[in-house]
Amino acid sequence: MVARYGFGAFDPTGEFGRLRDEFNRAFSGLLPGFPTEELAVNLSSNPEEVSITTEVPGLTPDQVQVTLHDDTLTLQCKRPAEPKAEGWTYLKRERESGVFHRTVQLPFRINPESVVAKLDKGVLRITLQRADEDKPRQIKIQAS
Amino acid sequence: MATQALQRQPETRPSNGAVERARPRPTFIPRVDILEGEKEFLVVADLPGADESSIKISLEKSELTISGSAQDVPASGHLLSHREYDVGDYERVFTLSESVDKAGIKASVKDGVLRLTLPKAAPAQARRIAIQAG
Repeated sequence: MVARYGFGAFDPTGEFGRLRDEFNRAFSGLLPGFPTEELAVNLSSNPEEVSITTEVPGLTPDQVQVTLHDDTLTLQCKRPAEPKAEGWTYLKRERESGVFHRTVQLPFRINPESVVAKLDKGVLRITLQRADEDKPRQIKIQAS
Repeated sequence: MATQALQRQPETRPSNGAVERARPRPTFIPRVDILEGEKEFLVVADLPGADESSIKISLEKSELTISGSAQDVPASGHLLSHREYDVGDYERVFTLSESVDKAGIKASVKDGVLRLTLPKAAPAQARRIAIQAG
């Protein structure tokens, strides 16, 4: 069992993520156009906010979709292939194109008004503030 | 972990005892697309997170080296709680053929993508040779 709260390692995809990964592996190649490519993410947090980064070189804001549903954040982006003008040929093609997605389970509930997503030098950074009602409260101990 | 999309390849060059890096950071070989047109070659390289000022392009004889370095500084007071990709330096070396006009190489960086235009040297461009009547 992985703790979902706190600063230690928590599993942002959860049990469902593991099942989905296995499903994707089993079916990749069978279903053309099925988005099986996952974006790798890094997460950093403090008790009040969480910040998620992922690398999306060359993408513009309109090619990236960020959606938040309760404590689940979904990233989806479409990376077009390098446009090839007539008369040009590929000598090497290593950069991936297609649809990339990722679902991240956040360590706490989020204030939806607080979400900030920024693209800088090909890195997408999303910062989410913890919902006020979800913040830990200090309980004062009364002297008897 | 699942397939890492847009991933960089870890350095695969055999480590040379003579070369030692000063900082313990990983170096990645950036992924590239290389296209050939009628008059030029286009090299497109993914260097996500690399600051424009850190990107260097050097040419020594026929060796073209591109390098850059990405910084990953967590917001103040943040602790890294989950890591799926590493951040470090980028480096890749290309050997240019004689058909490239080395003086005419141009580079631009946008959204973490480096684009190099390498014009073909004049002799490599198709020339039509007129046949003279004897």
